[in-house]
Amino acid sequence: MKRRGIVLLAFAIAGVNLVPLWLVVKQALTPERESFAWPPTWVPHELTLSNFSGAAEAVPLAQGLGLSVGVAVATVISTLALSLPAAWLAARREEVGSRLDGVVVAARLFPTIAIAVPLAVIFVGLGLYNDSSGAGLWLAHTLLGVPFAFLILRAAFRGVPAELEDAAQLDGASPWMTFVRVSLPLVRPSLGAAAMLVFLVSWDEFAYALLLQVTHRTLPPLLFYLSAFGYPGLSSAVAVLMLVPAVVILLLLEPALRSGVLAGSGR
Amino acid sequence: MANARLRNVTKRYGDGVALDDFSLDIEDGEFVVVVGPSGCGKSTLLRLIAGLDPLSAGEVHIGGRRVDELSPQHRDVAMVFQSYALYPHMTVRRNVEFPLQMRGMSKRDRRVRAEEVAELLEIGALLDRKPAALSGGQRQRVALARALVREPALFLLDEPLSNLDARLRTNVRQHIRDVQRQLGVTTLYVTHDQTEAMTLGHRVVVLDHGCTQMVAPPLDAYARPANAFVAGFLGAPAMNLLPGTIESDALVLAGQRVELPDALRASIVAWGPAVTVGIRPEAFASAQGGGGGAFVVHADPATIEALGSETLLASDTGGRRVLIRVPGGVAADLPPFSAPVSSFHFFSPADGRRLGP
Repeated sequence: MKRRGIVLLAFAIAGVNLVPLWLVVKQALTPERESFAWPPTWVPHELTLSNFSGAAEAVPLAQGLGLSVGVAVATVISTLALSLPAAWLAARREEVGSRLDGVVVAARLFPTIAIAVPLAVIFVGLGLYNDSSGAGLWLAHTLLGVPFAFLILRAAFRGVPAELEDAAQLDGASPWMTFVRVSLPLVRPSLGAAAMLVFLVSWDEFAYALLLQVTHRTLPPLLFYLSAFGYPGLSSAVAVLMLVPAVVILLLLEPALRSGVLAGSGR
Repeated sequence: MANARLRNVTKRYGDGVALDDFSLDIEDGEFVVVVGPSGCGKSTLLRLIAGLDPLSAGEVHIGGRRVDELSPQHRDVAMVFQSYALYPHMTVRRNVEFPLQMRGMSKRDRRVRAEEVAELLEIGALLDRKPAALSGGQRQRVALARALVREPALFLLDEPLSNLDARLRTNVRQHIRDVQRQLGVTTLYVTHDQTEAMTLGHRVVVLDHGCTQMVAPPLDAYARPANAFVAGFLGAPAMNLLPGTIESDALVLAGQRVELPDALRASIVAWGPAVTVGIRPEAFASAQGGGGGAFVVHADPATIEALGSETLLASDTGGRRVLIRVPGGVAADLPPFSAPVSSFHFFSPADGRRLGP
């Protein structure tokens, strides 16, 4: 009896999440008049890709997609490059760890949209504002990504006994080789999880993307414009594009989430 | 293979001293066991020699080369950790080959060498498994193999048997001794187990509170402990240490007057009046008739622990508990037990120092 209750609850939660997802996919693949049909239809009557071509005509969709992917990938690389050494140090030296904790938490407390304005001013001076390759946005997203990656990786390094690193050094490994051959492989699942989460942080980011770029936009502000100007079909098409990596990452992360790799990593 | 010289090695943590002015010469091929209670500084000693912690003072020389300024990777020291510290993501083969790989040995030579060592330690069949799939004893042997594979100048072992069950411990203990003798590798072995201390090494170093108490071959340390601490630490059950008072021609021990034999009287009287008397539990035997010159106790039948090969008993004599150990069994009507003065050890009550030869 109890078990059936849990199953029903799971279906209810899944339903709440999946219904809008279904509607977005349906709206993206059907003509706009179907989106406005009353009473609403759940099953598409007529399938079309015209929303995608329409969105591409209305906004620079290909450029936006390229920029979104580029900025997200670059953000993952820079974030991990910064977070890995910091997280390792924090895990091995408690006094360093507690201090970095404060910085990381404080960084997460400020609303991004409030920081975006002064950041835009600074970037104008540095020539990074509205950069065609998204360099400014990349820096801003790295700031956002570091706390996530840091907390996940620190928890992972804490799970690696320091004696393994001692043993590697005695076995003749340099500190760098010890890190590469022993510590890093042992945190690989967490490293993968951190990379995917940081990718999504950048992929999904709106405030900086809106305020730091004007003509070279990533997908979230493009979607916002289409939606704000009343094109549910076109904006749904962009939304579906944005959902693809999210769904892929969700499926890839699922075993990690289940095994508790992210346990104790904050948030 | 090399000798090792430790000169005035000291480690301070804040206000505390973990290891105080430790000096020791280990000969090429020698097996030295460092023994002491937990917190005596023995693990600190290994970490200092290995270079995992910096020295506060002193010097470490291995094979005639001063190494205390070098990083661990350049000291040519191998260590077996209490936890074994096997790399969980590597197979046994890759674990054993790792030290060779770090030294740039070719893949082919590595393989040959790893298989030789695996043969020696009887882990040849396990080479393709991961550590998680091994039993405690197997992991232990892999850890030994990884440490020995590159023929280190100095081989350090940190309580390597403490995670094994009692039966396995006896086997592995003998195995470690055989392998060390076979390879002739200079070895420093740390333990709190006095059986290991007695059986493994050429010499034993007894450590307490960061200070060396005695350095000697194990049987010498057992036969003539340098002070009351060593006397109480080596040997199981522990040596009985009783306060005694020397009067003109006799020793008063736990309220009992023990005649001093003529041969020993003069020297013993000179140490008085207050002494600490050490009597090994195995110094007692069934008292045959009366006769002076012996300490006589009556054991409590309730304390009998019959182990078959020997029997352990205890006696409350003059408010002191005295442990007795006799071979075989004991008669149902317990005889008194006596230990002759010639078996006594004498220590200064003030500083625990051994008195006399």
